[in-house]
Amino acid sequence: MSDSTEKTTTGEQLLQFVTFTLNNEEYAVDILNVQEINRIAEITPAPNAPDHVEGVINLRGKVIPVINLRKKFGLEDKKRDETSRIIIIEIQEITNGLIVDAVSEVLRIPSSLIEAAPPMSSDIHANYIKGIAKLDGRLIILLDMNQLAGDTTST
Amino acid sequence: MSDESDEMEEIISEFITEAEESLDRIEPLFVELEQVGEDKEMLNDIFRSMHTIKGAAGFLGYQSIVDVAHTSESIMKKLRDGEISVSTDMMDVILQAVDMLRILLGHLKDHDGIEEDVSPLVRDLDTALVNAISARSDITPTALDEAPVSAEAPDAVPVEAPATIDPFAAAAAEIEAIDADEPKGPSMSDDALEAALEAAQAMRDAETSTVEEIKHDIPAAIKVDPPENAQAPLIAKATVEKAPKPKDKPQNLRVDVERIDKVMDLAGEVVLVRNRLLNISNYFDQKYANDPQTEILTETVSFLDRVTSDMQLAVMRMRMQPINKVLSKFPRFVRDMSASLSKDVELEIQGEGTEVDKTVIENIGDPLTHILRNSIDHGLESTEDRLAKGKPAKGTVKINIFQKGNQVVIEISDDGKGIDIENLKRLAVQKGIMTSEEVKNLTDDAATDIIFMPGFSTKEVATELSGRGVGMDVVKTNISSLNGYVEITTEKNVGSTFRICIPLTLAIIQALMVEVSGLKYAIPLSPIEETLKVSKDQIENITGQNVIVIRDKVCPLFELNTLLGLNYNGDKSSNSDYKHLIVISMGEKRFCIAVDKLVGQEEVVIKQLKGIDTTSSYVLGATITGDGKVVFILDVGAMSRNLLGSSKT
Amino acid sequence: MTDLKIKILVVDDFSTMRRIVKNLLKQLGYESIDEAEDGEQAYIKLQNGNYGFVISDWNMPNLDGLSLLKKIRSDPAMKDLPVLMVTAEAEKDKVITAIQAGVNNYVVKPFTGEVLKEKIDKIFDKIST
Repeated sequence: MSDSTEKTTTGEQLLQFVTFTLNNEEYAVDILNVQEINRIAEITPAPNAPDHVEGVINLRGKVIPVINLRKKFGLEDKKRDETSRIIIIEIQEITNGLIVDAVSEVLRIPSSLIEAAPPMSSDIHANYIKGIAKLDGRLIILLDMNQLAGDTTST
Repeated sequence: MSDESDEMEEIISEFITEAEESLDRIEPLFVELEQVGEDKEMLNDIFRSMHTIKGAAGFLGYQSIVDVAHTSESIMKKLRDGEISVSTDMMDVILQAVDMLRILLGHLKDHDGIEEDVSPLVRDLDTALVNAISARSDITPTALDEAPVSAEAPDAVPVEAPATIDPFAAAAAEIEAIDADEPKGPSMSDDALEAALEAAQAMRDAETSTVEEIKHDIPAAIKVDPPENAQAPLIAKATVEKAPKPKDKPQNLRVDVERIDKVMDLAGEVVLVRNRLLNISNYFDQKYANDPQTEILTETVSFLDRVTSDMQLAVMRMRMQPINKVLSKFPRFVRDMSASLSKDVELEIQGEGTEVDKTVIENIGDPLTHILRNSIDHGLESTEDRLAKGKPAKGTVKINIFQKGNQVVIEISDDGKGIDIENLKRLAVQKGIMTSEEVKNLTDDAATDIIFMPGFSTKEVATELSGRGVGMDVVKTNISSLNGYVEITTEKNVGSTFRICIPLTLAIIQALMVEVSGLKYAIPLSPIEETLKVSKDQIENITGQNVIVIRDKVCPLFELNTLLGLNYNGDKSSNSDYKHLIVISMGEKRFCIAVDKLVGQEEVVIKQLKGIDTTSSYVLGATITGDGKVVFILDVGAMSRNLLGSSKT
Repeated sequence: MTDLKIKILVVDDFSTMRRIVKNLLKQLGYESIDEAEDGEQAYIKLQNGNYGFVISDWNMPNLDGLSLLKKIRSDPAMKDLPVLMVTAEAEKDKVITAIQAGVNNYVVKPFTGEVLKEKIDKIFDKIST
């Protein structure tokens, strides 16, 4: 069991994130929420589902919903390609898949580099944003998985 | 430390379950007692249950439970020993005690920390006992008031000659003394018993210790019934050998439901793998028919197929319980209702041993109670009306449960006045549920369904028992959630029958696989009446609703892709001149679903959909097919409710 | 000191009670504890197993505690088997019957681990002397 927090030499907290891109912006989710990252498998469209629920997939015998994050965040949809991935996350005992453009890396971010989300950043509803990390000139948007989870079940 | 508190938690939860089970078991006995009179076995059974609940509660420190159980136990003991007799008042107050115990257990279960004041109840129980004793013994109740519980001779060993200073006699004499002046229960002093114990021990040590010899030495002051087999050891041995060894009782094991569900899940997985293997082996069978290895593969897979089916059944059975668990509260329920409505009601139950899935047990109680309440309150006439009609004064409500194919059928019938359909229609219009136009077109069968419409209650004045704001529509919703349906047949002045049909298991179902717009869906087989292939021009349109005439009956028709919100460009199905129709029948309602293709029948394992809102999507779950694809299972019950809610058939 | 390795049979029809008694015994250090849900089952178990001690409830279906005790005392193979009878306060008057039938001691519900230990020690002290 690895913990997502560790200490830097100065005793500062390091948080681990999985980063991915969506519409050329960089996003990150807490690594503890991430179960695995898969290539896009066959998605069965869900009847009468909200637009951003792309459908369901068979994850080793479990049927789990897949959310198109672009649609969820009100971004323009993009055809899936070689780099597209499904990030499998587990929040509040519910497993979900998130379709993203590409997965970048696992990043350690010192907590001092994380700032509160500025009001209304980009097009995304501010609810889903936990904070912004500034790292070597990159701006990474940290997502609040709990908000996202509460959302998928009740739309 | 945490181990210990875990253990404690477990003991407490086991206590709650076991105590509730005991109450479930004894509750119907009370009603039976009232009917058959004093049955010593039954009385003893109730006594023992109260006694045991009290004992365990004492260990766990639940004083309120101890108090209620203790007082009830004292009454049961006197009833059992024939010192007082069974009366309706007595049963009423003991049933109240049972209710209170349930409430107290409920608080424990909910960890809500709510305390109940049981002292009024305990007082009532005491009073009931006093009244019963005075009825028996002609002692004035006033005199008894001071000595409520034990103004009776104790069932202790009678003392004949307390003159000796022997410890047994002393102990026994003490019992007598205590009883004479202490009102609250015989309580023998520990010292006296210790002394008696010492004495017995000493005798045993002194002599060669056999029961027989001790018996001889026991002072004559105390008369004891000799145990029948306490003769010489030899004889005793002979009897033991002769006695047929009791057959081993079936061993029970309490297992966490979660564990069974896990096995159930795994069995489901195996079914899916089996399905995939069947596909693969079929493929090889066709492609390499002459290869001996193929034959072995086919054989092996078909063996796996059989074993899997058996395993599925066995696992399913682990979750099955006799429906009696739900029914046991009904005799009491009917008794209370019949008393409060002043209607004489006889409840007959048949097939209470029928086993159904645990989920059904958990969810069928409320709907059944509701229907039963409805039958007694609205179905059965008042005694005067019954007599005026020449019916027996006592109304009958029957619950009949049986298995039919892979369904469980529960019928609740009354011999009451039947449902007044014209009145139903009138009320539906009056309440604004339907227009008078709509009502006119209703068939009688469709009209009975008005009962299940939200906001409908047949009695104009809501009675205390029936009108609780929850309508019969909830019954329908609850049963639909179990993949079942409910229908009513009624005949004027003969009675009404509510028939509930529920699939035996909720985890594995037979389904018809269909295809629409290139996507596969599974439709549960049980509500499918038939499938038809029709040409497009057979479909007619009446006021915007597609219909088809099947054997002179007009049946509404819905396109599956529209229902599912599949708006594919250039609908592939339009190329074909033919449509496949699936005729669904839910109770009295019938409708057709049009699809592109029928794929075939398959046994599917229902997978729960977590994280998707299925309340308005016409989907009840999903399954994984042999090729690993996810296929949604359609909720035709929800379709029937939404599409035909206004019963335009 | 009582041998903590003796095999004990706890007889009660209420499984919560068996568990409570078992738990108390475990806390006292006893390791080998078996259960029976009534006198009948207990008697069968006693015939086949090598038990050193019986703790039995009084009120049970099929075969109650007193009858079990009488059966034990009249069976040459187990007549010396120590038996502790669990009873309720209101039934203490019946204890005398059990004493006559040869019970080794009795304990009144509800009891603590200490009380149970005291009773057990008393029984085995007497046997060993």
